[in-house]
Amino acid sequence: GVNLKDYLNVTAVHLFKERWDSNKIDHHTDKYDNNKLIVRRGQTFYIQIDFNRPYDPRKDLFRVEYVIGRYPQENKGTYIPVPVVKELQSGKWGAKVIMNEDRSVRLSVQSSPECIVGKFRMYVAVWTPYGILRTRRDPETDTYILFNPWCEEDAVYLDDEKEREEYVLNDIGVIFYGDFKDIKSRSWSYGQFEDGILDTCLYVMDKAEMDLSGRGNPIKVSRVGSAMVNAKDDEGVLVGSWDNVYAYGIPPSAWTGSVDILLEYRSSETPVRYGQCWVFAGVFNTFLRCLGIPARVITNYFSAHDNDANLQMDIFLEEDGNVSSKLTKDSVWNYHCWNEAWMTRPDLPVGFGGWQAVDSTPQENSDGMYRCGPASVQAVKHGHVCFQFDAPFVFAEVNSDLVYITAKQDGTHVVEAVDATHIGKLIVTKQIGGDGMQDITDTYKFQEGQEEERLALETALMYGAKKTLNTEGVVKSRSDVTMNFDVENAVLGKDFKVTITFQNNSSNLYTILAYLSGNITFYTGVSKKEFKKESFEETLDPFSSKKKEVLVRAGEYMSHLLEQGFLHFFVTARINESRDVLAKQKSIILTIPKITIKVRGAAMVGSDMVVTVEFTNPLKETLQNVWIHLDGPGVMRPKRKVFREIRPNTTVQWEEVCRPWVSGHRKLIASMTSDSLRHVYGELDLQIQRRPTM
Amino acid sequence: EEKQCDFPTVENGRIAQYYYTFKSFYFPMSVDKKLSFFCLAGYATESGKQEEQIRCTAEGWSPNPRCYKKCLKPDLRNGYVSNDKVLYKLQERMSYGCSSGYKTTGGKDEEVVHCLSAGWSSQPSCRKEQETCLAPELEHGNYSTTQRTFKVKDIVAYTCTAGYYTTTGKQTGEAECQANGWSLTPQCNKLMCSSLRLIENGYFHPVKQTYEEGDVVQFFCHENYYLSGSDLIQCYNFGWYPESPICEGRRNRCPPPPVPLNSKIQPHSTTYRHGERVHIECELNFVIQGSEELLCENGKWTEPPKCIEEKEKVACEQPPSVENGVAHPHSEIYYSGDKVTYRCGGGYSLRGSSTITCNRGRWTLPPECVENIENCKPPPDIANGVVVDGLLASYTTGSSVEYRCNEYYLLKGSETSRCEQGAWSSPPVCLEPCTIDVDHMNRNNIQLKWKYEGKILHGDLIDFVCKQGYNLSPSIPLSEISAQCNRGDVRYPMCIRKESKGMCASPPVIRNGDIVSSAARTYENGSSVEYRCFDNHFLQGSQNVYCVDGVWTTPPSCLEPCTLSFVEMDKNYLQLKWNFDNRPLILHGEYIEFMCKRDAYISETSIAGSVLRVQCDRGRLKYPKCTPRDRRLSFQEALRTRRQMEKR
Repeated sequence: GVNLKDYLNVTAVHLFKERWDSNKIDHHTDKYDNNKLIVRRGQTFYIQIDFNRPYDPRKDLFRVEYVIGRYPQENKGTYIPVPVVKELQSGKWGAKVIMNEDRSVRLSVQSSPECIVGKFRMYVAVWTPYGILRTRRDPETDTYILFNPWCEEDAVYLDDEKEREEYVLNDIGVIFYGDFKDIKSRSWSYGQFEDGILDTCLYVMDKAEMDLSGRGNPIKVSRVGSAMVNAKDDEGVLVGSWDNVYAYGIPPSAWTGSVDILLEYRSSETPVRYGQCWVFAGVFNTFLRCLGIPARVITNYFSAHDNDANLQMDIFLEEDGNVSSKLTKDSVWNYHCWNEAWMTRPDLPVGFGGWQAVDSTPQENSDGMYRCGPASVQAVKHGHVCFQFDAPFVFAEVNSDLVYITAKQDGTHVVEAVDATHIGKLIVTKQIGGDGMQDITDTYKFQEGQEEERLALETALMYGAKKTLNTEGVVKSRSDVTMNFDVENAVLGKDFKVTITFQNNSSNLYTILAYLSGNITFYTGVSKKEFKKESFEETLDPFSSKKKEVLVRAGEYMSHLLEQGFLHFFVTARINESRDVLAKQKSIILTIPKITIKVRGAAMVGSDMVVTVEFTNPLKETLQNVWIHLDGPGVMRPKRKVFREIRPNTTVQWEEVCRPWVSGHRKLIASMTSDSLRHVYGELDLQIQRRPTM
Repeated sequence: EEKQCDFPTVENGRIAQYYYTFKSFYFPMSVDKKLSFFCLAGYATESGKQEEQIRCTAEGWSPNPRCYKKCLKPDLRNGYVSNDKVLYKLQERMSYGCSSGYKTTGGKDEEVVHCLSAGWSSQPSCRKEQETCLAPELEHGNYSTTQRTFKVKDIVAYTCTAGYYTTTGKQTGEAECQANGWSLTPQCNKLMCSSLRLIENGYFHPVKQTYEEGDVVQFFCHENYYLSGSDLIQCYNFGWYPESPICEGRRNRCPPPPVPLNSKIQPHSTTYRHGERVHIECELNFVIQGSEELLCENGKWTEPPKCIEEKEKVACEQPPSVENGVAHPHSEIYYSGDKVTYRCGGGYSLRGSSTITCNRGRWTLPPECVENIENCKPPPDIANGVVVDGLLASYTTGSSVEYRCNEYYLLKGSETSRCEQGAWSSPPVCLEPCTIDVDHMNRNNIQLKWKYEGKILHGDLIDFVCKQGYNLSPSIPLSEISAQCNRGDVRYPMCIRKESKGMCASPPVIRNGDIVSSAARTYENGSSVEYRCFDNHFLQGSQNVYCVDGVWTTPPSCLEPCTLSFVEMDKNYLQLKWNFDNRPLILHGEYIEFMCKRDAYISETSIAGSVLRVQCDRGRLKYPKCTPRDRRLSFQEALRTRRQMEKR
C-alpha cells in the first residue's frame, strides 16, 4: 500500500570523470590512466544527480555518501555522509547545490582535507518516511580520493607550483649513483599514472593490513610504505639481494622503472625479486607520488651503515698496516639512496615539518619491522634525534666518523687516525624541472668545521645518540711523511694505473713498506674479492717526493667483476723509522659502455614509432644470458628481450614498434644485464607531439 | 640582503626548539624567510589555529606572533549547540539548549554563555531532571507487570505475541533501566519478508528462508556481468525494497556530453546511444581546436575540442571566380560569417552549394557550373523517411540529396544518395522503433521495469519484470527478461504463475551429512530443507536447499577433516609448533603449524613461517619437508653472508 514513487528517486549520477573534465584537470589527476573519478581531498568537485522529478529543497531530503572498507563506521571516517549545505565550510565535508534545473541537480562537493585516502564507493541516499533509500552500488561511481599538495589545509601542502610539478606530477626521474668522485646518473620511470598503478599502491596498504582510519595521515602512510616496499617480515613488494646471485629473479640493475615491479607484485601477490637501494627508493617514490604525497629520491655519498649506531665506523688495521677484513664489521656504502616525503609533523613540536627522510631498503629493525622513517630532516640537521621515527639512524648515516684502529698482536686497539669528513660527503637529488643534480647536503648538515656542526653533534649526544669514543684530541701528531694516491680513469675491459705519491717534509731519511690492496666491492662497500695485492718498499730522501705506479691489468679484475663495477683501493704504509702508519682508501667506478636507443617515425601521440636498441659487447669474452629491458612511460609499456649470447665486439639490435599516448617531454630508458656484465644503461629524450587536430 | 627580523618572542607560544640552540646562526633573519610558531595547549593563534607561519618583512614579523586563550565548544550530552563553531574567541557568545528531561547549568531549557579569559562564563552542561525509565507501549507483546515507570537498575520482562520477535530475535526479552534510558528498548517486530529467488549469473548473501524487517541482502554478479538494480536490498515492513537486481551485460549509453567553454552543442537529447554524434560549434569570435564532432563510443565520449578566442579579425579576399558562373558580391571587404551567392549561366547548372562563406580568411569551396547532361529523375522514396530539402524536377550528375528518417526511426546506411549518370546510389533504410503492446504484456504476465522516455528505438534494450505473483518460466534464462527492440519487433518474455509449477521429489542425499527436517514425500515450490554435516565435517555451500520450480537448488557438501599423522611428521622431520594443535582431527580450512625438528631445516628460501603453516584441505594435509642438517660448511657460509647483508 505504499507508493514509493512519491519520493525522490535517483535515475542517474554523472561524475564528470573524463580526462578533460574540470574534475580531473583542476585536481591534477588527468594524467592517471584510470577512467574512474579521482579527486584530491579538501578541494571541491562537481557531480550531477538526475531524479525522476524535480528536486524541491523544501520537501526533499537527500545526501551523498562515501563508503570505504568492509565495516564502514562514521567515527572511523570509513562512512562519510555528506550533508547538503547552504555554504561549504572549509575543512569539512559538504555538498552545495549549484544548479537545480528540470530533474537534475548539480552539486559542488567538498571533501575534508583530513579524509582517508583510497577508493570509495558512492551512494545517494534519499529520505522517505519508511526509511532511507540508497542508490544501487555502481562501480562506475567509485571515487578515488588522494592527498592534495595543492590544498593549504592538507598535511602534504607544498606551496610552490614548480615543486609540485616535480615532486608529485613528474613520472620520470633521475637517480644518482656511482662514486663521490665519479657521480653517475640513470633515469627511472616512476610511472605513477600508468594503468593499474594507483590500485596497486592501495593494494600495498591493504596487504599491510593497514588500518583504514590511518590512511589519511601521511606519517602513517609513509611509515607503512617504508616497511611494505621491502619484502622482509611483511611479504612486501621487493626482495633485497646483495650477493650477486640473482637466480629466479631479475638483477636489481636490470629494472628500468617501478611499473613492472608493482604490476608483477599485484598480479602474483608475492614479493618480486630483486632490489637494491635505488630500486627500493624508486618504487617507494612511485608509491608516495601516486597517492599524492610530494616525494623525491636522494643519494648520500659515503653513507655509513653503522651496525651499533655509535656514530663511528671502525676500520681495523693489522700491525703491518694491512686492513683486517675479519675485524672490520661496519661498512661505508659508496652511496645509498632513500626517499624524502613532504608533510607536516603534528606529532612533533613545531618546526619539524617539511621534508622527512623515509627509507625502504631493509637495513635495520625499527619497532619490530624493517622500515625507517619518517624522520624529520630538520631534526637530523640540528641533532634533535629524539623525535620519531629513526632519526638517530639517519643522523649516523650522514654524520659518523671514520676511525682507523690498529689491532695489536697483544690484543690492544690503538686509534691511528680519525676522518670526520668522509661520511655523508655529498647529498644530492634531481633538480626541479631538469635532469641535473641539486646539492642538498646543507639540509642535512651544517658546513664542515662550522661551530654549528659541533653544536648539532652535541645536541644529538644530549638526545641519546651514542658515541663510545671521544675522538676529539686523538688526532695524532702529524707524520713527517704524507701519502696520497690516484687512480687513472678506468674503462671496463682496459688496463689502468694506480699512482701513489709520498712526500717527505723533514730532513730525515725514511724507508717505507707499503701495501696496495685492490678489492672488488658491492656498492654497499662490502668486499667480495681481493684481486690485487702488492707490497713495495721505498726510500725517501730528505725533503723529497716519490711516485710509484702500479699497473692493474684487465685480466686481473674482469673475471671477478660485480654488477656495478666498483673497485676499492686501500693503500697503507708503515714508516720503518718512526713506526707511523699511513692509510688512505679510494673507490672508483669503471666506465661502462652504453646502450644506444634510436627512434624512427613520427614522434606523435597515436602514431606508430619504431624504437631500435643497440648494444655492442666491448669485452674480450662472450656475454651470456643477456637481458635488455626497455621502458618509456607514456610511450611504451615495459618490455624485455633475451639474447642467449653476444660474442666479443658483436652488436645486437632489437626493434619494437610502439604508439605513444602521452605528449610532451618523455624518455625511453634501457638497461642491460648479463651473467658477467651489469649496470649498462641507455636513454633517449623524446618530445612527443600532440595528436594533430582536424 | 638586509637582515631584518630578530628572534621573535611569543607569549604563551614557542618557535621551533632548534632556533633557541642555533639562535646566532639563524637570527637576525632576512626578509621573506618564514618560520612557524605554535601556541601552548589552551591557546590559539588569532585565526584559531594551533600553529601558524610568520614571514619576515621590512616592518618585522607578519603577522605578529601572538597566542590567545580559547574557549572550546562544549561536548554536550543530552544537549545541543545551535552554532557549528568549535572555537570561540574572547568575548564571543554561544547559546546552547538541553533536550527534554534535561536542564542547563542555570536550570533553564536554553542559556547563553560568553568566552572570558578564564573560559566560559558558566560551564555549559545538561543535567537530568529525574532518574526513571518509561516502558514504551508494546503493540504486539505484553509486559510481565502492569508497572510502567521504573527506577535505574530495575529490570522489566516482556513476551511477544506469536509471530513477533524481540530485537534479539527471541520470543521473550528483558530490558534494564539505565541512567540514560533502556539498555535495549522493549519492542516486538514481525517477521516480514519472504525468501529470495536465486538469480542468474550471480548470487546473494545471506541466504535465509525468512527475513526480518531491517535485514539487508547483498547481491553479487559473476565476472563480466553487471548488476542492474540495487546491490543491497532491505526488508521493510511493506516488503523488499528495492526489488532484487539482475545480472546483465554492459550498457552502452553515454552521459551528457561535455560542453567546452564558449560553445554550443547540437542536437540536445536526454539519452545518447552508442555511435551517436553531437556537433560542437564555437560561439562567434571563437575558433575551434580539435574535432567538431563528439562520438559516443561504448558509453564514453571522444575527446571534446576547445574553443579559443580569435586573436584578430581576418578578412577574406574577393570571392573566387567560377567558370560559366557569376558571384553576387555585396561588399568590399568580407569577414568571418559573410556569405556570397553564385549563379550559373544558361545551359549550366550548379554543382555544390550555391553560397560560399568567409571563414577566418578563407572561403569555403565555391560551386562548379556544369553542362546539363544525364540528369536524374527525383530520388526514390523510402519508407518512414523523406528527402531533406524537398524534391526538384531533375538533378544534375554529381548532385546529391540527403535523407532524414522520421522521428524515432534510426537511419542505417549513408544518409546521402548521389546522382551518377542518371541513376541514384542506394538510399538509406529507416529502422522502426518499437511500441510496447500492453495487451501482449498482460498476456505474458509481465510489465515494464522502468518508464521509458519517448519511444523505444531500434536496438534499445527493454527491461521487463514479472508481475506480482508470477515468475519467469524456469526454462528461460533470467537474462532474457530483457528484450532488444528489433525493427519494431519485441520478443516478449513469458512469466507464469508461481503456484502453477512443479513440486519437488525427495531432496538429494549428500555424503557425510543428512537432512535435519523431517522427510516428506513431496515438497511445495519454494519450500526448503536444512542439511547438517556429520561431526567434524565442514559444511560448504548453503545449508538450506530450496525447491524451485520442481528442482532442488544445489545442496551443500560436507568436507572431511584431516587426521594428524605422526608417521608422516617423522618422515619429514617435523614437530608441532603449538601444543594446542596436538589433536586427532583438524577440520577443513583450519591451519596447523609445524616446525623443523632439532638439527633439521627447511630448504625453502622464502619466509619460512608461511611454509610451515599448512591448511587442511578436504581431508588432505600437505606436510612440509624439513631436511636434516649436515655439517657442510658451504651452506653455513651462505647463511652467514646473508645475515651480514641483512644487518647492513
